[in-house]
Formats: sequence, structure tokens, C-alpha cells
Amino acid sequence: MSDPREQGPPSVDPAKVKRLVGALVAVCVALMVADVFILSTKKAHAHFAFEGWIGFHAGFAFLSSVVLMGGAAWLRKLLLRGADYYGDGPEGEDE
Amino acid sequence: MIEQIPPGLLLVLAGLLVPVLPRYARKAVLVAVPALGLVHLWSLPVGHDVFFSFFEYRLHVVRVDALARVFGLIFHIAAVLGALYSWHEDDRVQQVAALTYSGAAIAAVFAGDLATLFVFWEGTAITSVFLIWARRTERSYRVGMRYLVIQVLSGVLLLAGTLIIFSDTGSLAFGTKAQPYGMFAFESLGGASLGVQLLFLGIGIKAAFPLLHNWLQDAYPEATVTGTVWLSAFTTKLAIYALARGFAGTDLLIPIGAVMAAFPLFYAVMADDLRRVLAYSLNNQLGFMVVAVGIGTPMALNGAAAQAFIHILYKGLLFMGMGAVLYRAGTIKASELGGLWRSMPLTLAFTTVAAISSFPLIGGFVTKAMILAAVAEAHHTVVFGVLLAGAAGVFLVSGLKIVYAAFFAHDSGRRVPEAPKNMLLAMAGAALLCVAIGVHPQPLYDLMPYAVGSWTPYDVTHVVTTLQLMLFTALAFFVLKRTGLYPLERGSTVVDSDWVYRRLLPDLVGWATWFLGHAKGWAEDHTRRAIAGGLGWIKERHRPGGALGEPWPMGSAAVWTAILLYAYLVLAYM
Repeated sequence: MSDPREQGPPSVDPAKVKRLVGALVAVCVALMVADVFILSTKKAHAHFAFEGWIGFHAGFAFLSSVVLMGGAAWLRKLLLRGADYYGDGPEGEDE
Repeated sequence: MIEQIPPGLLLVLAGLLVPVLPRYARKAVLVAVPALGLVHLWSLPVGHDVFFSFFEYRLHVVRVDALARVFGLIFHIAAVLGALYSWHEDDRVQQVAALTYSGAAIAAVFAGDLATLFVFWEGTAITSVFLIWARRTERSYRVGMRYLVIQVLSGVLLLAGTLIIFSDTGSLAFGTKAQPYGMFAFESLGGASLGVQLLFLGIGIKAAFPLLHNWLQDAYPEATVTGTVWLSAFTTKLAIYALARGFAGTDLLIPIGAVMAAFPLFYAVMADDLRRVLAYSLNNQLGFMVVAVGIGTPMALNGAAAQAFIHILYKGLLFMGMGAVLYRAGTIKASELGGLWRSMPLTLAFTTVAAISSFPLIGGFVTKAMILAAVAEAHHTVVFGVLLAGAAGVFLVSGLKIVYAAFFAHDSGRRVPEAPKNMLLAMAGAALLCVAIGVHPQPLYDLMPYAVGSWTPYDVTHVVTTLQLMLFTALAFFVLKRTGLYPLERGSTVVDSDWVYRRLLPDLVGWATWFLGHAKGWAEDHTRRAIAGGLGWIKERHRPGGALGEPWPMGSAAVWTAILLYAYLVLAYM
């Protein structure tokens, strides 16, 4: 089944998206650099040793997101049914 | 005199009056009465009590303490914002339902005893279902029935628990001056009394515990555009309040909350209906509060109350944004939306404030930090990790996915007007409060059940690590999109625990009916055949010429009589 979203044009100019992602990457790099500078206070604040690792929160967030999406992709193979599986009519539309 | 009026009662009475008022008076009442209620509540001092004699019982109908007040305040604020958001809607059913529902929820948090709590607890169930039925579709009718059955069941369990506790202890108190929070806390569920177990289960249904949760994702997305905004504020947060009041410090809540903070997110990724995505992420946020209640330290209870306060604002704001999209575009399916940023820029702006609610300077940052700090202080390493992942995951789904799917993605070609002004005003109000609390959290901290003291979320480490958590989630979103792992939703049904009562049980009943029908047919058939066979056998033997149909000769009758007499003789001597 083709996704209707893939048929429409992108709603934002791809060049702008590229610039936005570039800016996001730059901020992420800056945050990693900042991490090095605050390392000593970070270690002092940490309740758990792993909180004091360089880039722990960054890596953990990235990994969690991948696990979440990957897990959902796997789960939907088990759990996805037809749009009117329960016979209640289609969801998400206003009359 | 005025302080004798229970908070929430004004809203309930106004709700009952609404049907007879002219159009604009109804709208004015819908906004003005919650505002008036807010002023009334603000005027009540902490420590204020109202008792009401009912036959020989003395009911504690109003107990104003810090915990009740913080929930009461945010419920009033949510009602004012909900009323503004609903201004364009002139549906008496929804106006009555919204006012009585919010009034019942407010009255419930000020209930000082379990009997009063039960009355308003059921009140929220019976009134809120009309916000679903008001959509007036076959689907909403069925969903509403399921919702009502489960909500009433929650109340029945609460009542059963109340009666057993009363018979065991002779007291209806729900929190006392000596022990305001956690009077029913237990070490293990098996060790708690039956009454406490039932109370816990009844509250657990409304708090959307794992496997008891699915009424929420089933019902909220099916309510009207404005109805979902009302629903998102009250029912589940009333349950969080009741857990904090009754079960603070119950260890079992910690794993329950951790599961709540994690598993609904997988469903939120898969769901196509964006309001269903929000219902799943609401469940995740409840998980944070349930964990905090389970830890039960002053810091944790403050965190639960503060998180409930701000969550009502930003989740309500997300539901308002998605309601506006549904109102204008006629659909809320991710697979049918996209490119609305041109048409609805203000809705996008306000929704974005809620989407980034965990960023520094926004409300969620200053409240979630308290819960995480409390979990860390209690040294729950795994739960801390789950909540951290849950915070990243909820930003992925109720932040990035929602905003991306509705406003960006591929252009769906829809060109619609911006949301009505009243909706924008309500969204602006909620967004403003989110930012105000994020920038200056002290007034919220001052309302907390325990003194917050000098604790602050704004230190360099916390700001940097939170930004890392959020922005690397955003980075992952773009990477996953590039690799084709997102989007996953495809306009289909995703099976959840409601499968048990929507598919398995009806199927079992169907199979049982089929089996019993066939068994009955088989039994009838065989009985009929056995009787016919028996009659045939008798007839066969009694027909003229049959073994028993012929007259017997006198000799054989005499022999048989002799045998019988002989047998009688033997038996008599034995």
C-alpha cells in the first residue's frame, strides 16, 4: 500500500530542511563540547556514576529513540490489523 | 457563608442551570463560573474544613490542604481554558457535561472522606461520557458505552473498598491531619486488606495502570474536538491525586509507573490518529507521576503534584492544537495530514510550546526535574533509566511526531483557515502559563505540599544534559526519517489490551453460544432417537406375535410363580 504522504510534494523546501538539520547538528556538537567543560561539576552532581560520563545523556537519548522506533516497527508486525478491525467504523475523522 | 460552599459545587450547579439560559449567557457562564470558582478557592485558607451531617454520619465534604489546593487550582484553570476553547461550540449537551464534569472532579479532590470521594468520583464518570457521545456517531456511541462501563466499574470498586474499610476500621477518613498522605500505603498487595486492595484497583483503573489503561486511548480520541481537551485534564489527574492522598510511599507503584512511562510510547509511535498518539503519551506522563507517588518522599510528592499541574497545561495545549487541526482539516490522521504550517501558523506556534515542554524555560523542565531528582535520591537506577528514556521518547512522539505529521511532512494539499480566535486565545493562555512557570517556577513551588526550599532545576549541568537528551532525540528523529524507519503509522488499527474485551470476550461468547447451540441440538436429537428406539423396542415386543404380545400358557405362569415364591423363601431366611 502506498503512503499518500509520499505522493505529495515536501511541505518545506528541502534546502531549508538541510540547513535546519545542519544547525541541529551544530548545536549537538556544541552540547558535546560543553559537556567536556562541565565534566567536573557533572561528576559532582551525579547520583549515578553513568550520569558523569561524557555524552551519556546524548547517547542515551539517541539510543532510546532508535530502540523505540525499532521496537515499534517490530511490534506492528504483530499488532497491526485492518482499519475497521473492531467494526466500529474508521477512526480519526470528523463527521 | 461563602466559605461553606464546597469548591466545584458552583460549577455543578451552573452546569445544571445552563440548559435554560439563552445562548450567550450559556457561553458566559461556561467561562465565568470556573473563574469565579478559582477566586472562591483562592479565598479559602489551608486547613479549612466543612462537615455535613447525613443521618448519623458526619461527612467531611471539604478539606482544604496544600495537595488538594494545587489540584483544585489547576482544575479551575483547565476549566477556564477549556471554556474559552469551547466558546465557538454551542452544544448544550457538551456545555452541561463540561461544567458538571469539571465541578465533580474539583469537588472530588476536596473530599475529606471516602464516601464523598465516591459520589464525585462516579460523578466524573457519568458526566464526562457525554463529551464522547456528543460526537453523535455510531462509533462514538459504542466507545462511550465502553468508557462508561469501565469508569463505573472503577467507582464500584472504590465503593466496595470503602465499605469494607469502613466495616474493618469504623472510619471513612481519606487522609487525616496526622497522616495526610499515604494512609493506605502497603508493603505488598497480598498483605493489604481486601478493602485497600479494591480501593487501589479502583483508583488504578482511572490512573490507567498497565493493562487497565486502554479505556483512555480508546475513548479520548473519539470525543468531540473540545471534549477531548476537557477529558485530558481531569479524570486521570484526579486518580493521581487519589493515589498521592491514599497510597504515597507504596513501593508497588514504582514498577507500575515505570512500565507506564515506557510501553505506551511504542503504541504512540504506531498510532495514526494524532489524538490517540497524545492519549498514549498522556499515559507515559502519568507513569512519571505514579513513580513519584510510589517513592513518596517530600521531593517526590512535590514532583508528582507539580508535574500533574504543568502536564494538564501542556497536554491540554497539545490536545487543543490537534483539536484545532481536526476542526479545520476534518481529519486527525497522520497519514492524511501534512503541510498545515502555511494555513495554521499560530496553532503551530502554540502547539510547539507544548511539544518542547521539557526544554529549559518551559514548565515541564522544572517539574520533571523534581521527579528525576527524587528517583535518583532514592537510588532506583533502572527506574531512573526508564524515566530518562521515557522523557526522550515522549518528546519523540508527542513533540516531534505530532508537529511533524500535522504541520510539515509531505504537503497534503489541504488549505484551511487558521483556528477560530477563541481556540487561539485558549492556546495562547495555556502556552503563556507553560512559559511563565518554566521561567519563574517559584510561585508553583510555593503551592507544593512540602516546602521546596532552595532546590532549583536551573544549574548548568541539568540544563546541558536536558538539552542533550532533547536535541539528540531530535537528531535521531531526522536520522530515522532518513533511513525510512519513520513514519510507521498507516491508517490501521493497532491491537492493545482492549482486544480482550472488544474481540476475545465477544468471540468467546460467540463460540460458547455456538457450542451450546450445537450441544443442545445434539442432545435433543439423541434423546429423541433414544425415546423413539425404546418405544420401537417395546412396540416390537408387544405387537401381535411379539415375545410379550402372545398369551402365555398356564404351565409357564405356574413355573414362574413357583420360582418367585422360592426366591422369596430364600431371601426370607438369609
